[in-house]
Amino acid sequence: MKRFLVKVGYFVILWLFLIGTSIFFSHLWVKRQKFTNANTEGNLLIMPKGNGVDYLVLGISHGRNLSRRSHHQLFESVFNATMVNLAQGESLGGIENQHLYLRTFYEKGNKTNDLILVLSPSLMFNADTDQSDIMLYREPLELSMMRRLIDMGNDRKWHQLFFYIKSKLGHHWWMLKPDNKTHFDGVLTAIDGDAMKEGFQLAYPNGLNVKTFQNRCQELNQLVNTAEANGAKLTFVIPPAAFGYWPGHGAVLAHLKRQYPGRRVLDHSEAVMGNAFYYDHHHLNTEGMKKYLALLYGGMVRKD
Amino acid sequence: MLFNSFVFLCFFVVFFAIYWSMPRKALYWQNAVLLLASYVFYGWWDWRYLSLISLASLTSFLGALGIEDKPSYKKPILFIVLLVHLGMLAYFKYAGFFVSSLMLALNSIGFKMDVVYLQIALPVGISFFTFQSLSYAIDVYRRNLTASRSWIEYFSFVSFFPQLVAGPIERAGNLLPQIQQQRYFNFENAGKGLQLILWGLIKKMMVADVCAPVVDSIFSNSETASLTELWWGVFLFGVQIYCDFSAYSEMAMGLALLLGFQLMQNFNYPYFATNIQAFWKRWHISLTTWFKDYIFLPLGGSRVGKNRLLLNIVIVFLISGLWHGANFTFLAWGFYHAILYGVYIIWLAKWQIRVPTLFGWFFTFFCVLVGWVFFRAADIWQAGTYIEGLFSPQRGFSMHYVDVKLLMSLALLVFFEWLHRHRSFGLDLGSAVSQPIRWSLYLLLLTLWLVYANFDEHAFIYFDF
Repeated sequence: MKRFLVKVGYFVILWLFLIGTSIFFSHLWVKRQKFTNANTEGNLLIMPKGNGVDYLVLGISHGRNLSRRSHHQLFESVFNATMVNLAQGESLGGIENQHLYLRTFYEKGNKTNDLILVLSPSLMFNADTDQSDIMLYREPLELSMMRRLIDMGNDRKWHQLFFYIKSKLGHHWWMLKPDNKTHFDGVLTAIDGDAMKEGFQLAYPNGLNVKTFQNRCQELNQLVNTAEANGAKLTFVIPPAAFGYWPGHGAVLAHLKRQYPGRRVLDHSEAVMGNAFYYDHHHLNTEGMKKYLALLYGGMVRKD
Repeated sequence: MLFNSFVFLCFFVVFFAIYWSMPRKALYWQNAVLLLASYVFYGWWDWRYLSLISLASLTSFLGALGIEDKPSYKKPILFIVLLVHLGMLAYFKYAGFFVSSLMLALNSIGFKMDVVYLQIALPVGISFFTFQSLSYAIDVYRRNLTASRSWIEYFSFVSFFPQLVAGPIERAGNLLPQIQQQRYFNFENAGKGLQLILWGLIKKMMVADVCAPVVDSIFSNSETASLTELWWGVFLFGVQIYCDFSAYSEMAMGLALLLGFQLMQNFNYPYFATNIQAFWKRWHISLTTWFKDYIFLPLGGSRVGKNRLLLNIVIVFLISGLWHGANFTFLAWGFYHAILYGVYIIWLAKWQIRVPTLFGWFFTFFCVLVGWVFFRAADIWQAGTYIEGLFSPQRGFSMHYVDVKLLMSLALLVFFEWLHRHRSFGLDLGSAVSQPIRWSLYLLLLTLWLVYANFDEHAFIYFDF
C-alpha cells in the first residue's frame, strides 16, 4: 500500500509540475504579442495599472463593439478622450462578470471619470451568461483574479475557476492572436424573423422572467455601488438595434429611471435605423458606428 | 453520484482510506464499511430508493435460505422471490408504458377514454440490481450455489457500489466468494485499476460526452438533416453508447480492483466483431450471458428445431429490448437483432458461408448501426423516418457537425482500441512497455483529458435502464 501511495503521489506531483510548466510557457507565449483594447477581448491582457482613463465601458457585445477593430480609435477621436472597454462579447458579459472586471479595474489602481454601462435589455433577463464556465477563457492566469472569482459568490464559481485554469492548456489559448482587421464592412441584407426569434431564444432563455429581472436588478445595484464608491459618473445606454426595441425594453428603462434618478439614461434603441448600418440584427458595422458615436457623444454632452 | 464527478472523487478517497485501514483479519468490518459506502453511494440519488434495494436483497437473501433449508417448499419460495423482483421492475419500469399502451389500444378499437400517462420515477440501476439479486436465488434453487448465511456479505454483494447502477451484472458465483474472503491490497491490481479508470474517463468524457451534443442535435433535426448527417449521427451514437457504457464498466472494474475485487469483463471490442453472433458475445457480456443462462437455455436453447430456435431467439431479444426500456423502440431494436441473429445462426453459420473478414466486419457494423436508430429514437415513428432518411440520397450530402476536437477524440479511441484489441482493455499496455514510456503516455493522456474532456457531468446512458 505504501509503495502504491508513494507512486501515485510522485505521479500526481509530476503531472501538476508538467501542467504548471505548460501554463507558464503558454502565458509567456501569448503575452509576447501586442494586444490592444481594439484587437482582443481578453481584458487582463490590456488592463492598465495605476492609470486614469476618461471613459470606462462595460456591457455585453454591444458595449464591446464600441472598441472592436477601428471602433475604439473612432470613439477616442470623437470623444477626444481615453477609453478602456471591458465589455464582453460571445455571450460572456453578464452583470456579475462585468462587476468582476470593474473590481479588477479598481484593484489595479485605475480610475475613471465616466462609466458607460451599455445595458442591452436582454442582460437584465438573462442570468445564464454569468453561469458560463468559459467566462475567463481569454484571460491570462492571475491569482488575484482567482480570488475575486471565488469572492463573487456565483453558483458556478468553482467550475469557472477550474475552466479558467484549464483553458490555459487548450489550443484556443495557445493560438490567441490579435484581431488586426480594421473594419466591419458587412451589411445586414434584411430583417430575418426566424433568425431574430432564434436569437431572442438564446438571449432570453427564460423569456421575460420577473424573478430573473429582480435578481439582475440586485446585481446591477452592486455594480453601480462599486462604480460610484470609486467616484465614477454613471451613464446607462440602451444600444441601438436594427429592429429597434428589444423585448423587455420598457421594464428596463422604467427601472433605470426609477432606481437611478440623476444618472444619465440614454435610450438609443431606435437611434440608428437602416439595415445598411448593421452587420447583423443588433451589431453596428463601421459605418453605423461612425453615425452612432456622434449621437452618443451628442447625447452625453447635451445631458451634461 | 457519478464516477466522473468531484463528489465521487472525494467519496472514494475517504472510503478507500477507511476501507484499507481496517485491521487485518477483520472481514466483518471490511464488509460493513463496504455496505455502508454502497448505501451512501446509492442513497445519494434518492435515499427513498434504499428501501427498494434493501427489499430486493432481503427477499433473495431469505428466499435462498428458505430454498436451501426447506427444499420441499423451494418452488413456492422461488415464486415469491420472482414475484417481488419482477413486481418491482413491473411497477417502476413498465407500469406507465403498459397502462398507456393498453388505453391507446382500447381507444383504437372504439372504447373512448382519456389516456393516462403514469409518472413513476425510475430508480437508478433497478434493472441491474434486481437481475443480480434474482440470479442468486435461481442459482441457489438450481443448487449451483450455496446460500449465504451472512446478511452483511449478501447485502454487500447486491449493492456493491462500483457496479451497482450500470453493471456489469455480476453473478453471485463470482463476486460473493470474493466478498466472503478477506481482501488484501495488491499493488499490481491497484495499478491496473487506475489504468482502467483513466481509460474509462477518457472514453466517457473525451469521446461519449463530446459525441452527445452532436447526436442530440442530429436526432432532434432528423427530419431536415442530410443523408450524410443522418449517417454521421447514427455513427456517433454508436460510438457514444459504446464509449459511455463500456467506460462505466471499465471504471467499475478499476474501482473494484482498487478494493481487491475482480469483476467480469463486460465488453470485448464489440465493434471489431465480424458477424452478429460475435458481436453479441462481445457486447454487454454480463447481460447476454444472463439471458442465455436464465431464459434461453431453460427455453430449450439451441437443441431444438429451427422454428423453435428462432422463436427462442425472438423471445430473448424482445425481453432484452424491454429490459432496456419501456418503449416500442426498444422492442423494435430487440426484434431487429433477433432477426439478424436468427438468420445468422440458423442459416448463414450452418451453411458455413465464408466472407472476407473486412466485409464481415463492415456488414456487421453497418447492421448494428442501423439498429441503434431504434435504440436512440424518441419513438417508433422517428425511428422509421430516420431509417428511411438513411437510404434517401435526395436528402443531399451537406455536413454541419464535424469539428476537430471530435475527430481527434475518435482517432484516439480507434488507435488505442485497435492497437490493444487482443488485450483486456484499450489502455492495457502489458508488461513489455518500460515505466518511463508508460508514465509519459499516462501523463499525456491525463493532460489531454484535462484539456479536452467534457466536464459537464453527463449521466451515463445506462443509468436510465
